[in-house]
Amino acid sequence: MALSRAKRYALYNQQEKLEISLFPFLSIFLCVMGVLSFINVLSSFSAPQKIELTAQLETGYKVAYQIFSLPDGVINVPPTTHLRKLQKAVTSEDDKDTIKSIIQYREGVLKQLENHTGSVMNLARDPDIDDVLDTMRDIRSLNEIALKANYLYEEFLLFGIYPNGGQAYQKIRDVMTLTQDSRAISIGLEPLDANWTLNLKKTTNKQ
Amino acid sequence: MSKTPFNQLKINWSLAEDTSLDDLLAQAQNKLLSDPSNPELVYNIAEIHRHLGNKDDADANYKEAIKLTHERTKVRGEKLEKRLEKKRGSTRAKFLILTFLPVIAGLLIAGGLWKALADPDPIPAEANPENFAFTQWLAKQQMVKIITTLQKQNPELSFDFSRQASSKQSPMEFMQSLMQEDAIQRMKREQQNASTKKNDKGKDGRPEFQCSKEPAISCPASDIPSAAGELRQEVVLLMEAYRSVLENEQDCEKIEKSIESIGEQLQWRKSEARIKADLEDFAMECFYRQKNVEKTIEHARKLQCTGDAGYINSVYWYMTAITHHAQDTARAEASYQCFQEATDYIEKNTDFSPAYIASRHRESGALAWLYFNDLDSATNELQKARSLLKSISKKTPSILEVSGEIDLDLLETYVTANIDQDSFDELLHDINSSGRLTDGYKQIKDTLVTIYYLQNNKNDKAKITLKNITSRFKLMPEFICGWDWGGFKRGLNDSISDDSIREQAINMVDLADCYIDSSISQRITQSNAVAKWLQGK
Amino acid sequence: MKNLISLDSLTDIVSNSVGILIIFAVINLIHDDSKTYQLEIPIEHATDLSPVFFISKDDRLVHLDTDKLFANATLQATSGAAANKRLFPLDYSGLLGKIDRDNGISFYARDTTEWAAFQDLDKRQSNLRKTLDNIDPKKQYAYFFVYDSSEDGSGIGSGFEAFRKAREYLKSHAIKTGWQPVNSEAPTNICDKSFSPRCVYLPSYLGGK
Repeated sequence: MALSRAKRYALYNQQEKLEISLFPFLSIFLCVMGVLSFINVLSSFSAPQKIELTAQLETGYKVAYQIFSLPDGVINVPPTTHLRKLQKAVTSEDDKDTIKSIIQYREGVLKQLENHTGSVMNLARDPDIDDVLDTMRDIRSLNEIALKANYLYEEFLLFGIYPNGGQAYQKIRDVMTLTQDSRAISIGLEPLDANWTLNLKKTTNKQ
Repeated sequence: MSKTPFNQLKINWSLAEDTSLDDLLAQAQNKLLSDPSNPELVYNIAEIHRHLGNKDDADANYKEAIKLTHERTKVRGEKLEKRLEKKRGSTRAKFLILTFLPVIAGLLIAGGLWKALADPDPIPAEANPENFAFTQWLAKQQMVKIITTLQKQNPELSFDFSRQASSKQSPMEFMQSLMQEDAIQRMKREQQNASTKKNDKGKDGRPEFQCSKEPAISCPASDIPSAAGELRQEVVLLMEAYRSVLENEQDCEKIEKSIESIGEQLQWRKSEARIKADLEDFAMECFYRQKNVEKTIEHARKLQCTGDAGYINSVYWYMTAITHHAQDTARAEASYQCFQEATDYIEKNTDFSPAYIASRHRESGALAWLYFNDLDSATNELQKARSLLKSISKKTPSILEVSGEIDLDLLETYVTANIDQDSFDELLHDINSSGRLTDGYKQIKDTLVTIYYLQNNKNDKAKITLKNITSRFKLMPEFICGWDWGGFKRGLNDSISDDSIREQAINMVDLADCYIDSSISQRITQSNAVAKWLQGK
Repeated sequence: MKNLISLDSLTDIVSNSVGILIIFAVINLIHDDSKTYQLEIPIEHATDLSPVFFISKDDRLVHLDTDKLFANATLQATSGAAANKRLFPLDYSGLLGKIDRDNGISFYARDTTEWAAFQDLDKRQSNLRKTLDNIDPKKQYAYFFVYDSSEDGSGIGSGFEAFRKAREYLKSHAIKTGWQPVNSEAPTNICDKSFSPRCVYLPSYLGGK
């Protein structure tokens, strides 16, 4: 009796040592794996939390003049990147001057947006009728200068509409019906989410 | 106590069976000297002590045995551990290779996919041009013929009328649109008048105009808007909004059904005849496009029964066209004469603007040429229209739009005539600054300009315009225009003497022809072919 | 002994997989942070297709059956209920109508509980899906009037989400879509384009292949 007990004692010792070390280990790993894959699946399903919008957008030769329509008003983000090339392609001095003044004005607008501290979204202003008319006139003259110079460049209006931002958009469209300048300007519309922010620094630095 | 427990031991150690326990103990202790860590030996010594009654010694040896067993186990465990470690090392190496390679490959693929997905979608190169009925297209082509002939005969005629028919739609639709715009303005005017004086003229619901070439039509009561009462403002506004719904509707039966059910509901009043006429006009036009002879005539009659003078010409236009299509020449001729009578009628009527009347004359001319090959009447009608249009002093947006298109027509004649560079540039400047060019018409313009450059050997400039055409096609979802190249194409034979240039010019015309049923990508291929030819020059 | 070795390699595999998952999670986080949204760049274009109208509000969608709506509105207009820009019931999915010169016919959406939730698009047999499937891409395109308003400004409760989802679904069926934002002050309206250039309803998103 005593012999067998002692023998069993020795045998138990041998096996217990390995079993105890493995199973908690496994269960912890499985748990961690489960949680991580759950998080992974969750993050892939939920909508992206923070999206940045670029200031300069184009598709082929069509360049977007972006207007972000917010509840408090609009932010105009005029394109500037290709204007200098257009300026070079143009032969008439008058047209060169027109482009130059438009570039200057637009760069001023962009600088103002860029130098603003805090959220860019706070810069939204109620659309001013004269501003809208001026914008339409500028876009029309740029498009026509490009047409005359046989240079493929066309600006169109791209509205990014935030939740509750429809009112400002409606106002701009109403003003646009007043002018013949807007007749041939194409329009694009995109619904945006409130947490999609506009990043200007990134794109203006590129220039 | 028996000696049995130690018998086996004695056999193992090769001792006699009668060896005493003391001797056995001595033997064991002796053996222990040579193998001090053998737990089994110590255990046996402890057992012998126990049998000898030395309890303390036995306990000490038992403990020693257990201690030794522990040590042994430990050593064995360590050995096992080492072996496992080695094995694990090799497994891990294998695992790393087998797992990470696919994972890295997977990551690369995922990265590639991510990039591909993050890129904006390419615009599909698709979109068919308008699938217009062939006859309508043919009609337009023939109209171009008539005008080209006219231009030859009367050079001064070319600018005003060269081809106003070119529009976003078919020639007929364009003429209709001219008329409709006018009609709407009149409608508005009438609505304003309605409040002051009751617009209740007319005789018991019969059409005011009666053509001498056909018997008086008998209208079923349901087709005559005869109910008494003032114009219902809301109904008018509602039906005007409904135009937006009907505009591109291709299901004519649906239009027909809607008109019927609305008619039943509304019980059209006499004052609202124009609205009913407008709806019937949609139906008639839709059925005409489908070349449904019976239905076109049916709705033409219904339109006639509304008794609205503003739509009489429309009735006879479609009647002429559809009966001609049905090869009923006598009826087509009668309808055409009715069209002329109707034009005379509206000319005497003060309600219609000069522009409206002028466009009726133009239609009359077009009908004469299209269906009756009557160049004299066509010339006559067009001259009438021209003098009328000249008298319009106030340029409304719609007139500006038409004049923009006339400029484009003019460009075509310039290219055909290969006019001097200065006049060409001047006109081009006007076209470019009209502020109304749609993408489709920019393509038309650039095609003409390219051909002009080609025939004047300005290949560098031609290359640029051609490249612009290709780039525009790449971004165009639907190629929509209303440009008939028939006359221009015919004119190319005379205007371009060089065979290879003419061939390329014809290719250019084909790729910019909205009525040729080819996809945008086919058009791009065509323009690339021309570009390649140009490169080789 | 063999048993012990296989357990050990299992631990190995598990720990390695966990490592990979952590890497994935980190990559995911990094990516999310620097995501620059590329607008699809929709441009409205002239078309030969005829519109099929929808309203999107409160994460729900409703198809505007123009035949029915205009017939019902006509009924109301003849009875005088629509006079003086009064709101009148249209007897169609809780919509109210109004007729005036500037806006043609306007549709006011008050109660949207009857409308189909956009999540129905995931259900095979849902009515919403059937309605969208009925659009013939060779003859028609879908036009959405999308409510932009929401209580907290987050977009939840507006029509944006439902519109985006429907747009995606239609795109996969090669159907073009167009839209315009509406709200309670400027509600859905259909008017005659000869009155105003704003009365045009054009597609801007191309149907994918």
